[in-house]
Formats: sequence, C-alpha cells, structure tokens
Amino acid sequence: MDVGGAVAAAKGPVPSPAVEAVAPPHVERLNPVVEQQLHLESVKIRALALYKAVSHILEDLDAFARSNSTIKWRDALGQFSMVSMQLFNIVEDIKNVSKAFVIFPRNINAENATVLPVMLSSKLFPEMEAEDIAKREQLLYGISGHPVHIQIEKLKARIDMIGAACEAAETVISDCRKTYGLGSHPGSTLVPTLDKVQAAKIQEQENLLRAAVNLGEGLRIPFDQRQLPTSLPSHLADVLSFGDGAQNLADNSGSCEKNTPAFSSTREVLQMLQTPGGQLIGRSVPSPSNATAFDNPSTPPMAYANSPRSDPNIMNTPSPQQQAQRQQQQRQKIMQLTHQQQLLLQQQLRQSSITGVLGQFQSPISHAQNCILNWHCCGKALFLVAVETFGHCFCMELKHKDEEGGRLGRFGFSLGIWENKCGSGFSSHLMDIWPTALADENSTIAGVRIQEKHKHWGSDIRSNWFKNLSLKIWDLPGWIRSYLKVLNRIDALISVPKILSSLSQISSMSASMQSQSRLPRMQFGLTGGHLQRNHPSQVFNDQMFGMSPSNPVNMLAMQQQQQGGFRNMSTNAHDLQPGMVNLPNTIQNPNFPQQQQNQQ
Amino acid sequence: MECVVQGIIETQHVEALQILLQGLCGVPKDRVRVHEFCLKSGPNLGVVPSEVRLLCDLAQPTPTWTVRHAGGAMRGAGAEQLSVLVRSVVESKVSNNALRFFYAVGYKLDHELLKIGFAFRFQRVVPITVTVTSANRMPRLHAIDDAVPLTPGIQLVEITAPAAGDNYNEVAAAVSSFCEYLVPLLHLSKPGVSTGIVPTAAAAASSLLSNSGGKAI
Repeated sequence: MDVGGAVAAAKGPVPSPAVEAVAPPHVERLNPVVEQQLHLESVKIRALALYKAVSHILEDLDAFARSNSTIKWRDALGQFSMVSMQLFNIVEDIKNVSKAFVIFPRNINAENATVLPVMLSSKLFPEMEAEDIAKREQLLYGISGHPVHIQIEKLKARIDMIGAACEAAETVISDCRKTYGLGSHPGSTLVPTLDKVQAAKIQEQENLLRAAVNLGEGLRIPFDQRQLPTSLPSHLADVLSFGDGAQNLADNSGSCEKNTPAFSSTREVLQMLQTPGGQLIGRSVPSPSNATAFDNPSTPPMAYANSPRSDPNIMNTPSPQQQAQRQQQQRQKIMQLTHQQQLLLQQQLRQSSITGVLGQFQSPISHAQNCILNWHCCGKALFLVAVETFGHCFCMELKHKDEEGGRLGRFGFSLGIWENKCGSGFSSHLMDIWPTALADENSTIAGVRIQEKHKHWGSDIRSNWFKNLSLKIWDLPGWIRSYLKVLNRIDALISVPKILSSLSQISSMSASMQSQSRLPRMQFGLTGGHLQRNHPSQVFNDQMFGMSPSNPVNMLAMQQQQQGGFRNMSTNAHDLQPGMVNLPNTIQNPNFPQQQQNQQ
Repeated sequence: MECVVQGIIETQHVEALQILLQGLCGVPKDRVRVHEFCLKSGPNLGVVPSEVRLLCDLAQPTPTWTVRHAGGAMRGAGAEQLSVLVRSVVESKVSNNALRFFYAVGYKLDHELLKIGFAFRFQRVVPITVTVTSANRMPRLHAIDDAVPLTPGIQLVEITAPAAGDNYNEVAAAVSSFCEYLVPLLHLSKPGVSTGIVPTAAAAASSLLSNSGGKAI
C-alpha cells in the first residue's frame, strides 16, 4: 500500500477505497482486472523516473542560478518538455481506469466546489456520515434484506424510472416554451416565422412592385384620363408644350391611331376657321386616325399663288382678304381652345401684329399653323425629323430670326444634344430608325443609304457622315422619292401620289441648285406670323404641302411670297425643286447667303 | 452591358439597410428622385415595339435627363448559372428636349414612374450602384406632386454594375459577393424572380440601429 500511496501522492489524492483498504482489518484488494490494467508496477517505475528527471532539472537550474552563468534555455526547455511528455503519458495510462475511484480535479468551479471536499475526504464528518447512513437506509429500505445484486437491480430500476420522468418533464417544458414563445435561455431562440397571411400579403406587394418597376404594370393611366395638366412640373414645363402631351400618349394597345380630346378640339378649331360659305381657307388637317380624311374633299380650295392651278396674276390680288377678315372674327373662338393652343395662337397673333401688312394673312397662317400643329402633334413628325437628319447638325435647335429682329414663336423642334459618353448603342439605334423609315419596302431607293453606322457621334464623324450623305443625295434624285416615303408615313396628310407626279418632272433637274439655302431653319410652320420664309427649307416644307393644292400651308407659303420678303418662290412647280433639292445641302452653309440673290 | 439584381425590403428596415450600406460602401449616400418616362415606339418604327426610358433626375438643382435602353437578358446555360442578370444596356445623358424628340420620332408614353430614395455608388472590384427606392405612381399625367407610393410597405433594392462582354463573369461574381453582405436584411435575385422578405430582418435591423445609435449620418 505504500506503493499505492506513493503513486497517489505523485498524481493526486489518495483514493479513499485504497485508504479504506488500509484501515479496516479486512483488506480490500483492487479489482484484479483494474489492477492489471493499471500496471501499477510499471506506472510506479515511470513515476519514479519522472520524479528523478524533474529533480535533476531543478538541480541544474539551481546550479545555473548560483553560478550566474547564462542558462542554456534551449537545453533546459528541451529537458522540461521531455519531462512533461513523460508525465502526460503516465497520466493518460491510468486515467482510463482511475475514473472509478480516483478524483483528479483539474479545476474547481461552482458545480463541484461543495462536493469536492466530501469526495476528497478520507472520512466524512460524523454528522455527514450519519446523514449518509440515514439516506442509505431510506434508499435501501425495502430491499436491504435482499442479496446485493438484487439490490443493485432494484436501484437501477429506480434510476431508470426517475430518468424517464425527467425526460417527460423536459419534453413538456420545451413544448410549452415553443407554444408560448418563451425560449428564454440562450441557444434556443426560435426563428421567427411569418404568418401565412402576412407572407401572402408581402408576396402580393412584392409582385406588384416588381411588375411596376420592370414592366410598368399598374402604372398606365387610362386613355381617357390622359390629358396634360395645365400646370406642368418645372422640369417638364419647358420640355412639353401645347399639344405635345395628349397626342403622344400611346394607348394601352400601343396603337397610335386614336383621336385624342385635345386633338379633336383642334380639329374643331379648324372647322371653325372654315368660312361659313363653305369656302375653305385651307383644308383642315385631320388626325391620322380619322377615317374621314378631309372635310369637303370635293370642294376645291381656293387657288393660291404658286399653285399649279393659280392664275399668274394672283400674286397681286389680295384674294383671301375678305375671308381673312371673317376668320379674324372667328379667331375669337380659338380662345376657347386648350391652354397651350391658346398660347400658340396668341403668340402668333401677337407676333403677326408686328407687321401690319401681314394682317391679311394672319388667319390663314394661323390656320395653317394649326394644321401643322395638329400634324405635328399627331406624332407623325417623322418628316420633320427626317428633314432634320439631313440638316447640318443632328443637334440643332431651331432658332428663327426674322428681319424685324423679333423672336417669333420659337416652337422649335429642338433635338437633344447627345453626349454619348457611354457608347454607341443608342446612336446606332437611332440610325436604325432612319433606314427603317426611309428605306423599307423600297429597296430601289438609292438615295439615302445610311451605310455607315457611326458608333460615336463625334463632331468630326458627324460632319463626315453628313457630307457623305449629302454627296450621295446629290448623286441620286431618287432621294426625293425616299423622302416621300417618309412622308408616306404620315397618314393621308399629303397625297403622295400627287406629289410624286408633280415631282416627277423635277426629278430630272440637276443639282444646279445645290447652292441654295439650307434646310435646317425649318420653322415648322408654327411660328406665328413669321413671314420671312427666306429659308428654302421652309420653302420646301411649304411647298411640300403645296403639292396638294388644297393644302393650307401652301396658301401660307404663297401668301408669304406675296409679301415680297421671300423672293425665291416662283410660280411654277419646277421651282419647288430648289427648296427640296437644297435639303441635303445643309452643310454647305456658305451657300446660304447666295440663295436670296440667286433666286430672285 | 450591366449586371443587375433586385430585391425588396420592408420600409421599416430601410434605415437599417442604409446604415449597413453606409458601413459597407464608405461613401455618402446620394439622394434619388427620378421621374422615369417609359416610351414605347409606335408602329412606324417597326413591327416590334421597342422601349426606351427617359430618366429625369430631379434631385439635382437643374434637372438632368438620361436616356436608357435596356436590352434583352443574356440567355443560355451560363446565364442561368449566374445569380445576377446580365443584359445589354445603353445609357446616355441628353438634353431636356429628348422627350419632345422621342415624341416626334414616334414614341409614345407608355407609363411613367417616380422613384424616390437613395443610392450608394462605390467601387468594389467594379463600380457598383445600390439603389433603394420606393416606386410612386402618379394619378394624373405628370402630376409629380400627387405621386403616391405604389407599395407603401415595401421598397425596391436594386444593385447594378456595368459589365462588358469579356468581364461579365467577374462583375457578376463581385455583385454576388457584395450581395452576401446584405443577406441579413434582404434577399436579392434576378429581376422577375420573386424573393420575399427575410423573416429575421427585424432582428438584424434592430441590431444595426442599436449599434450605430450614436452615429448621425
């Protein structure tokens, strides 16, 4: 037992059974199996060796300390690590079997603080021992007389029953926790789950939101409610103006063939402008969607100057004057128009009052402008834009200066300035529009072939492109036909066959008029009272309208010619060509000043 | 091209998301107030209608306009494996006459939308833009002042990053990895794929708000 004591001393407290084995006369032996496993002898030898090694290290350290020489730490640590390894191995070997009767406390904590002394003690206090005996008797109350193994079984049964009861209690408690959401102690936080109803609501909202943002569902205003408000937000006030809004709204089916309220009111205006006598100052320009294309198609409009049917002397006769007076009265009704249109007309009237000579042309002008306004507002301004592309610069703002210096109505069709920083796609997309618009269904149009898709609208490339384009146009009079194809898009506004026929005679004309004026100054007829139509572009525009003699714009052009400000117009259709042919020559600006001289 | 993912978040957690993004991105947030016009082409421009969006940025002192065309998404097995949507996009600044221009060319207004919120633009391998907006609809045409939120309780989160044909994989990976940071608050997916909200977002939001309670951003 000294050996056992020595072993225990090296590693920890003396196991009480071993001690008890010493005290009572009846010597208890360790279970032979356990003893065999313990290998007490070998453990003892190893422990002794360990002890010697540790003491040797301590002596060395002592010697170093006394001699004040530097310790070779590397060696010392090596020895120490060897010693610790040996200890570790010994402890591991007996650990497995020592659990039964050895307490090897590594640390004291709250759990075992009260129990540890009792377990380490070799003998209990008398009171505790008395308690221990009393509890033992209580436990073994019914079975103490039985043999030991039966007692053991019964005790085991009791333990099992208690264990089962504990488990049942645990489940009940956890169920209650889940039910009442109590989960208070850490590690068992329940994942909050959404209520099904709530989840469905959120799903619905999510679908709504995603559809709206990505597809526009739920955001489309019904067609009948799409009217431009009278007060636009500030960022739209400059952008949108009269007549732009309603006509440019697609209905939900995507068709652009619907009559809009604003438009129809404009039509009423036009009808109002018709003289009661049925004499049309100009034919009203109906909505493209209107099945009845023209009012009174059978009634030929008045012959105007420059019309093929006109009397050469008509330039001298103020023919529409009487009608103009009547229409000036009717103009009052125009005030009932929409706000934007009122603005336009007021502007026109204001502007036109600058030159009193033009008074006689006011109402026809305004009428024509209304027509053009409608036409434009129908969204069929592809013509305009097509014209623009042949202009000098794709990024132009139409400014108009008249000779009086006043800035007349600048209903400029301003195009955006494309600062194409990010790349090419949109410009090429835009370029795609033109071939589509101009060249589809007609492969024989050689004039306008936008072959070079310039990826970047750099100014140099732009000008090159237009130069090339203009060269091509010059070579091919078929360009005119292509141009008319563009016009063809505008439903029934201009009777293209008539234009074609009238232009066929011009198609043979050479490019002698290249030096004529530029196109881009195309006030699209919406400047009030502007009569300085000294831009062949405007001439062209007017003349294009003038192709169908019943077109009111033609009258506008004619009457402006009468004013004498513009002397380019001649009375035969052949002279229309200068205006048309000049269209592509927009780059050649220097020629512009010559125009007035040339065409006198 | 761009890589894009979208997700939704409850309006009550938007502030927490803002704090999280502030911490992740390290840049101040930009106010977003965009009036978006969706224009559809008329029949004169082809059989198949195309769509163009005009965005008017009202947050600036002077409104700036941008035109944007989003093409179709990339398709194929490779695209399906990506967790982001890759689509071609063309964007450009334009002057304020662009709307009139489009009307004249033949485009019609299909619908309009007002987006109000904030955005973070930062660089993480690639330039990434995170936009958190509430979509507002206008009861009458162009009536911005009367705009009401379409879904008051939910806002849309969109993460976009520009990509090119040769690097969209890296961009997609960068966007995906960034999305991982936002998992506590929201799930992100390709546009059109519904995700739902994160049930534990409330807990994450409360922790975000409490941690940074003292920080005034």
